[in-house]
Amino acid sequence: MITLKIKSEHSLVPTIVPIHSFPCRLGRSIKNNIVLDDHSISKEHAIITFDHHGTYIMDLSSTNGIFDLNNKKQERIYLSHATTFKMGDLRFEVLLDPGEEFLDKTRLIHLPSYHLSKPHFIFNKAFFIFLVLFFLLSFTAKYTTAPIDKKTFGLLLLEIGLGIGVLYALAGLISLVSKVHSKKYRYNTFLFFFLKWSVYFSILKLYPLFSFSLISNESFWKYFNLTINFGFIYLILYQFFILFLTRINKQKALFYACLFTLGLFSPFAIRKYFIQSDNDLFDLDGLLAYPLQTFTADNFPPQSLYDRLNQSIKDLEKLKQEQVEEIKKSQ
Amino acid sequence: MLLVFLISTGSWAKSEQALFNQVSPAIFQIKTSTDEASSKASYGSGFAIEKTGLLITNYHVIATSLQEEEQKYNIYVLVDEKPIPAQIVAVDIIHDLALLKIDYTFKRTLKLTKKIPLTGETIFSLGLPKDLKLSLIKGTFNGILKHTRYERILMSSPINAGMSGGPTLNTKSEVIGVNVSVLRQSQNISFCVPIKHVYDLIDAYKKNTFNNLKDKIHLFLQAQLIEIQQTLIEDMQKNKGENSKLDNWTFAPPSTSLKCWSKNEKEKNKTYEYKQQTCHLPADAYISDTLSSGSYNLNFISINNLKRTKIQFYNVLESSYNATTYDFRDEFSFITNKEVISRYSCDNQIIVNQNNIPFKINFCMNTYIRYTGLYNIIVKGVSLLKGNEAFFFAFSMQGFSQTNIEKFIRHQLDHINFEGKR
Repeated sequence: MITLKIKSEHSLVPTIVPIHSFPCRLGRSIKNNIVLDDHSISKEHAIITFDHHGTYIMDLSSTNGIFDLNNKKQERIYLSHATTFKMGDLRFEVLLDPGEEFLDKTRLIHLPSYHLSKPHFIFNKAFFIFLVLFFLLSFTAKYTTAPIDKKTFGLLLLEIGLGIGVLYALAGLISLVSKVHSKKYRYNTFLFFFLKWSVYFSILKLYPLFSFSLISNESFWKYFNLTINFGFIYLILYQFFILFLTRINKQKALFYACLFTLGLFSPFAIRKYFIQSDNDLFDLDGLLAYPLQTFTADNFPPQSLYDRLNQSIKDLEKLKQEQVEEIKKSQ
Repeated sequence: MLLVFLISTGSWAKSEQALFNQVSPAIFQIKTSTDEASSKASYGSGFAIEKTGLLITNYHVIATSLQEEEQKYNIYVLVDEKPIPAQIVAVDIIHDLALLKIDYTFKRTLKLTKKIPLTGETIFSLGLPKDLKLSLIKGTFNGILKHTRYERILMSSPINAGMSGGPTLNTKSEVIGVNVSVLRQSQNISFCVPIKHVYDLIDAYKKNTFNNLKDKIHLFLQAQLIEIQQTLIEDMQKNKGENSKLDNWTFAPPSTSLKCWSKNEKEKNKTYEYKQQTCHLPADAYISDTLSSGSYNLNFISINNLKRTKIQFYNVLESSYNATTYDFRDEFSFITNKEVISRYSCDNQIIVNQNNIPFKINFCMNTYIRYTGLYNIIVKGVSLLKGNEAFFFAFSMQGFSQTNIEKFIRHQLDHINFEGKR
């Protein structure tokens, strides 16, 4: 006879459940042989059955899956004495008991309802880090343009508050619509959205400062004959990338998101941050470097301006010639 | 006594009518169009000065025949409602005058006088307003406006478009000026060209200065444009007066020929303030409706930081600098003027002037297709001292040679100085 020792993450006392009949279905729905009343368990989560290799537990395409001893997701785990596996928030240990105790066909297992007192995402570290990051980014962008007064500061807080509120509502809506009405699912969706959108908004906020980046620079792509508004495409690709990553591995998704964001920086384009950047945009740049640079007459003699004037005049003569040819051709 | 009074007014009124009858046979409508019958034309007026068929009018009345490349425009003088083709025999683009010759013997010509009326004297302007009928408009002489070589008589007279090129006479039926323009959005303020310049033009013509004008007219125009820009530069360098001042910044005093005005403002939240001085030359040389030359303007702004940090203040400088853009960089205006003006060539440079002030300077220039050696340039610059006071300048020049552009910029840059704490 196989006995399962079930322990939830936050409880101290495990529950012992013997399995008499095979196949033995486990899940949240009362139609199962073993009913596990926990929100991290799908309605039809797993089945314990056997084949010529032995007894095994198989995942029935559950939401949270089955994880083995090394925290690797498995479709099927062969059970022997002291095998441990995890389903959702529940830990299982297999005991092969040679005892002959017969119990009822189905047992309703009520596990201590820890989830009501479980703290939610308020104290989640990743959430907190993002909130702070997002706020800092917005604040920096606003700070460079004008002194921050009470009104600006208040509006900034309101903007972020609204942003969070909208994201939460979105996540809630999605979890409502989906089949799994699990608070944890809602939390995950929320985190995922927040991750995605906070970086997206960060890009938007700092885009003017980042617009020099090589990747989002249109001239760079024109060199490869690609005329695209890469900034926009980048954002869309980025979102799909994050979506894809969160499906595979949530922790790594966070890391890659940061990396992708940093990809906006490009060493080649840092030049634009210096006042001297040679561009024909007719603009003044150099916000970051301004306090650091000094200019001396030796390095910047006035004659250099007149030399450039001279060069422009030579260019103009060429331009004029070309134009005269064009006019002659069109006549 | 009463009788005398009546006779005076009567004789006055009679003399106006007499004046009209005397001069009207010498004033004609001038039409510039693709052919005689074409309704697509521009109209002006002109008057006969020599029986051999010489007329005076404004350059801008007949400019289309010179500047329009796509279609050939001809000049016609309407004598007794019959269009007679006219040739340009002399031209003065600076004073907006043109001397025409037609194959016709005038029965009457107008007498010119160099005598300048007194302010307040009655003058009479004649011409065909709005293609209607030869009319007499009574006005008042209000003095002469002079900006270097540009000269205009200021009149209080309700003349209208179409009367350009017509004569303005004194009470003795002598021509004192040639009608040239009206001031927009004003009440009866109008201008005419002092007759002195007509005399100069006729003299130059008689001396054969305009030999072979027909084939080389643009060379003559070019020479005149080169002349005026030379005058403007010399005029600018002439002013050795006290430097202009905006807060702790001093700069070259503008020429007395320019009109200047100032503006002081504080930003909405009082985090910075600025003082501005703008000067411009209120005259230029008309080349065509879309093109003019021989003029420049200056803009100086001193900006003071009141409550911002260094980076925030620099942001103000950046936005003011980048907000100053210029019309002829606009691709659209270039496309419409592709045959007369070239594309622009821009560049930038950081320099430290002789008073040890660093500037970031941007400029854009273009040139005329038909005229060589003359350029239009826009220059803007901002000081790069790290303190709480900054200086911004911008000037635009139309129709200047390379040498003079350099002279101008040197003059302005070398004069900028900062007397505050560095």
